[in-house]
Amino acid sequence: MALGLGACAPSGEAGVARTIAAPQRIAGESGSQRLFASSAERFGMSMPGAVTSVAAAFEYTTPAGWRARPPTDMRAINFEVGEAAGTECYVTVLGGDGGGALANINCWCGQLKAKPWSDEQLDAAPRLTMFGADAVLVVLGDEGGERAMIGALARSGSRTVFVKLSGLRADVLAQQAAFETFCKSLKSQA
Amino acid sequence: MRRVMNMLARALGSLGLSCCLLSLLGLLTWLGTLEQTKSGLYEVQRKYFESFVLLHDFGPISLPLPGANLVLSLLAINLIVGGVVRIQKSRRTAGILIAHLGILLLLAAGFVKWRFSNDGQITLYEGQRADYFDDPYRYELAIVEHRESGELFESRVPQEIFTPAPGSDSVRLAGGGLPFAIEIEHFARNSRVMRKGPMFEVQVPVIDGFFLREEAVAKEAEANIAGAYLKLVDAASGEAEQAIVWGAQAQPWTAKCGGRTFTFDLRRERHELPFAIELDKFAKVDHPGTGIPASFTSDVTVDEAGSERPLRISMNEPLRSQGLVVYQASWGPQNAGPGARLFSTFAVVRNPADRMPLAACVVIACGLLLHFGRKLGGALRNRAAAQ
Repeated sequence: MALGLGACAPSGEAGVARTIAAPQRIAGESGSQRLFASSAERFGMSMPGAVTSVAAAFEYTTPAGWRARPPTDMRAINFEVGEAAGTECYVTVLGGDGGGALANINCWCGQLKAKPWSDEQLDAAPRLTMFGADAVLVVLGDEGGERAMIGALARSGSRTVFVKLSGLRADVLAQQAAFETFCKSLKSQA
Repeated sequence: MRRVMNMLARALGSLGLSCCLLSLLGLLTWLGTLEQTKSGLYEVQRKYFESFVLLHDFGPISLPLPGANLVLSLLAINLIVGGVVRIQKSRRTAGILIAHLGILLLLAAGFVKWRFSNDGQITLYEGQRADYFDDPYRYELAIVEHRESGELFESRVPQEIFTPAPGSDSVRLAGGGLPFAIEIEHFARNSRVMRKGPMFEVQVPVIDGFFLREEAVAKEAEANIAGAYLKLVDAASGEAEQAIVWGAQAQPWTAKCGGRTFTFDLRRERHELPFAIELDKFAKVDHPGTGIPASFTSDVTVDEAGSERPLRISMNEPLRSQGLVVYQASWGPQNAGPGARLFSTFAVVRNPADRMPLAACVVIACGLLLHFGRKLGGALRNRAAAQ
């Protein structure tokens, strides 16, 4: 059994090294692991928990007053928007059709407790150009008129890109023009 | 002196002390259960049930409480002094004495489990083989030298060695005859590796376009993925090279130092098995008309010292071999579609006291049967005599 456990108790003094125990021979051969793997190979997108931000794969123009935040597991590009707290805009990228346009729009409806859309409403929804293709533009509000959401979704290669602006109704509607400008500025570098 | 010893013995063996200690155990159980909603099972187990003293937050106030280790230690002393040594020994109390010995055996089993056991898990796809299991809660830094002969020499640094002390952000490691020192910086119990984009700044080093982002510690402790920055300092030249080591990395980081090749892998703490286990076939039976599993079984081949034997591991039918117990724990991926390749996860427990709780329960049951059997017999005899 391979041992090689550190023997010394931890030292609390700065600069004092803790001891690595002497190595022990182990079974196996050198070729069983990939040596000198690159960082991209070591932290590939397929690894659980690893997020390879697609922010570096897109070009876009940041609207005035929008403040970039670090991406998260689900938000490839992430902004705080305007002066009011809680108004945010982010970009999510999903493989394939991401479950379909209508399903995702109705998911947004569910989040706002708004009436779900029908196929006819989807067909009649306004469009804007994003990634050189037609993107559905969705404007939703909750029943109480307090909160609102503007979304756009479009295919980019083998992925579907969702852009979502949400927050208090007045703040969201005030940023609609900036939102549409941002969506139109999105380009894929790949 | 003798009087003092007698007073001490009376106190240690008193029923009042027993009641206090059992009440404390009840309190710890209640507080730990409430805490588990916030902190998760693993953290609560360590804080409340594997400690001697703890600080519990009662709102804005933190109060010290005895941990379960201290309470159970005192309970064992109380039981030995009051329930075994000082108890009046006769046929009348034989059953109680036996039951007390059974309880002591149970406490001893708990001590052995705490002090000498470890557990973890193995995840295998069909056709895969493993001769070790991973501790899902602890990490180790594995430093492996890949010699030109093809041989591998490994040093393992346990988590408590490379984790910085409170108030410090880095740890320096050296020794083992290695031609370098290591500085571990920005260690995070839970982390994600992310690619640095142009639109935001970070406060940690960016290496090859990647940085390590610290995340909040997950309530489910096994979901945490540790990460750190590792700086390799050549002992001869003083030159340094830095990399990110991360608990979910696909491959270790490789570096050359002094003409020798080393890999550095931050991985779940590994424990060797005295045998190898290979998953031949995993089978899942769902409840009719649903995707909910009714049962799942793993047909494995166990290779012990070159001798192979087939075995089926299923719920409630584990593999027991050489002090280890291998249970069928779960399977995945949970969102697998029809025909998808499934893996089987085994929980592995090395517990020298594995059978002691069962033996203890048998002893306690025998003692209680004897004691209450005598009482029943006496009552029946008295009734017959009265008639």
